[in-house]
Amino acid sequence: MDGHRRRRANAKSIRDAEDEPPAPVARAPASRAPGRGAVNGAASGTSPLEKLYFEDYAVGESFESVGRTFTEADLVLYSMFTGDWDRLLTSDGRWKVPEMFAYSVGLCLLLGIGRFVYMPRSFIAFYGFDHITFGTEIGIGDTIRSTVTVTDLVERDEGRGIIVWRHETVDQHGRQVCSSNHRALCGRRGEQ
Amino acid sequence: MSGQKDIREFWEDFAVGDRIETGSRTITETDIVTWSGLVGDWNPVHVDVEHAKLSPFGQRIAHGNIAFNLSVALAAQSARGVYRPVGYAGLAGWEAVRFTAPVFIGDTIRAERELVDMEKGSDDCGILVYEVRVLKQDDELCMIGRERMLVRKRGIGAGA
Repeated sequence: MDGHRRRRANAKSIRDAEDEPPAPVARAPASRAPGRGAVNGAASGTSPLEKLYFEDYAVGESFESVGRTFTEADLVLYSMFTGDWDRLLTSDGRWKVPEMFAYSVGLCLLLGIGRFVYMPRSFIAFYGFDHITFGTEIGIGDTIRSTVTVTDLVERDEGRGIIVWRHETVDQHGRQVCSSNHRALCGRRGEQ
Repeated sequence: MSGQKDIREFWEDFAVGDRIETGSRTITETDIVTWSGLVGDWNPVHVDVEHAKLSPFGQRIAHGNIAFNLSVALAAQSARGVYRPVGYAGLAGWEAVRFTAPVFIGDTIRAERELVDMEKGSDDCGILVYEVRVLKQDDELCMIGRERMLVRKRGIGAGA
């Protein structure tokens, strides 16, 4: 891919080549260079995935986030924020990312898939987490990414429906770090 | 520390009905912005005053995950010896976590825990199941859930 770009750069100036979008996709800012999630998943944040209503989802539909590497700064800031300075270690002696923090970050990675993708614009209320599991422990230097899959769509009344998700966060080796089942109340498309 | 009573080191030392109460903490604007940056959740209901004015609450609300994370951190701060005993081996998960009321800037929260079940788990580790409640200054419940914690067993499981 790099070589392809280089060849084109010979014909034009390097700047022109870089400004040219690779496909009909809008140009991403330089800071949004494609990462693992953008390559693997449909969601790069630039595609028209935005959801308005309950009806815009289908059971089995899935979204994948980009990755995030836990740094020492992350863990220091988390300890500063919470006031919990227990430094637990992974079995190989690294500072362990607290399960609650890995979970919180893993879940928020889903928001980065795009505005109103994982949660629609008509989002009303979040019920909570029905079931959360913590699996493989991770430490500084490990990278997580998350996927979320629609597992059920429940019509609640004429105006509202419940979207049921299964979320999973894995590390760079694909081992499950945490998972959850959760639900949100969302608006339905009116008749009109 | 070799006393028998009130020292909780391993799974066997706990009993259903054990309670942990924490100190309290006022949630500030700084907390909300810091948390947004830490985890990357910049939802306007948390950080946009103008957007929040039009919401049902009329003001910014703290992320549910702040109360969720602090329910653990406050216990670790206030009751470290009991909540993180010698045999502590990590969290296994949570069940039925619900956010029952919004937390606003200036609200003061605290957490209560009651041990409601003890599962035998494996040979090495048992599971403590705590019912966790996060309460506001006026005792309004803002979060509830069941926390599952792994604690090593005494003897062969203690590895000593």
